[in-house]
Amino acid sequence: MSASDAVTVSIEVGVPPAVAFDVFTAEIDAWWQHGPRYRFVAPYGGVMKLEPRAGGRLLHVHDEAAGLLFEVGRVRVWEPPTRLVFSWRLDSFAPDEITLVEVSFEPAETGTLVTVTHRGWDSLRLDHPARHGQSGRAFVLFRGRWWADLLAAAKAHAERAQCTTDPRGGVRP
Amino acid sequence: MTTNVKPVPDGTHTINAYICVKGAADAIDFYKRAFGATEVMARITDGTGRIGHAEIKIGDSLVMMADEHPEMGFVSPQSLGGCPVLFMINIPDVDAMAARAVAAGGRLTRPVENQFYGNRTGEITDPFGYRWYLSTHVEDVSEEEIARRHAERDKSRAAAG
Repeated sequence: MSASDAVTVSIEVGVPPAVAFDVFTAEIDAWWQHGPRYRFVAPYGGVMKLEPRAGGRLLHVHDEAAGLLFEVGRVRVWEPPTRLVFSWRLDSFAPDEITLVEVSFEPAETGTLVTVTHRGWDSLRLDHPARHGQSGRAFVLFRGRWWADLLAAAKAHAERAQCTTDPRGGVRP
Repeated sequence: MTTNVKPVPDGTHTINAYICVKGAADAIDFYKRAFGATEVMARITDGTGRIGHAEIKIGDSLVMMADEHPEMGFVSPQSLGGCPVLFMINIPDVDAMAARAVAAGGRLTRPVENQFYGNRTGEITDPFGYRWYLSTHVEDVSEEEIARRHAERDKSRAAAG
C-alpha cells in the first residue's frame, strides 16, 4: 500500500460515542455540507441519507419517488456505536471501481474520537478524474481536507445539538 | 467562481507558523500539555501513518504542522541538526508556563529572569528541536533607563571578564 492509498482524518467531538454515531448516521443530512464540492450529483442540494443497517445504502437523494438519487455506496459493517464501514464512489467511477470508508468512534477525554479512514485509492488509475491530477501528499491533503471539512461540520452540529438539549452534556433522549 | 470569498480566513493572523516535526502526533500532545494548545482542525494522516496536516492554537495564534516528508524536502530541526527560528510566546505568567513546559518534557535552555528592557523571559527547547521564547512584560521602562541598564550590564560583563 502506498502512502496515498489511504487517507485518515480524525477529530474529537464533545459528545459520547453513541451520540456521535447517531449524528454521523441518522443525522447525516444535518451536517453534510451542500454544494458541488461535497454533494455528489447535480443539482447539489438534495438530501443525504444513510440506511441504518448492514447492506443499507448511502444515498444522495433528489426525489426518491421519481428515482432521482445517487448511490454513494453500501454499508459493509454496521456496529453501533463503535464502527461503520461503507463503500464510496463518485459518479465518475466505473462499475468495478470502488473505495472504502471506515469510521470508528472511540471514547476520548473530551467525548469521542471520530476517525474516518478512506482507502482503496491505489486501485484507481493515476489519471482518474477523482484524483484531480494529484498524487502523493497533495492527493492525501486534497481528500483529507474534504473529510476534515465534513467532520468539522459534523462536530459543530453534534456539539450544538448537545448544548441545546442538555447544557450539562448528558446523552440526548 | 464565487466573488464573496474571504481573502483572509477567520482565526488567522498575517503570519502563521507551519512547522515540520519528526513525530507530529507526540508534538501536538506536548504542545497541549506544555503551552495549553488546542487542536482546532481534524487531523489528516496518510496511509503510512504520517500526519499530513494538523492545526493547533496556542493562545490566539494558529500553528500548523506536519510530519517530515523528506521526499518533498520538508524536514524537521532534528534532521537539520538545529533550529534557526524561535517562537516568542507572550503570556501573563512566564514562570508558570516555563514550569509547565519543563514538566511536559521541555528543556529550559535559557533561565527565566528579568531583562533590562522590562520583560521577564525564558527559553524552552522542546523535545522536537523547536525553541520557544516565553515572555511576560513586567515593567514599563523609559528609553533613558533602558540605556542606563544596558550600559551597566555591559560594564558588569566587562568586569567579569
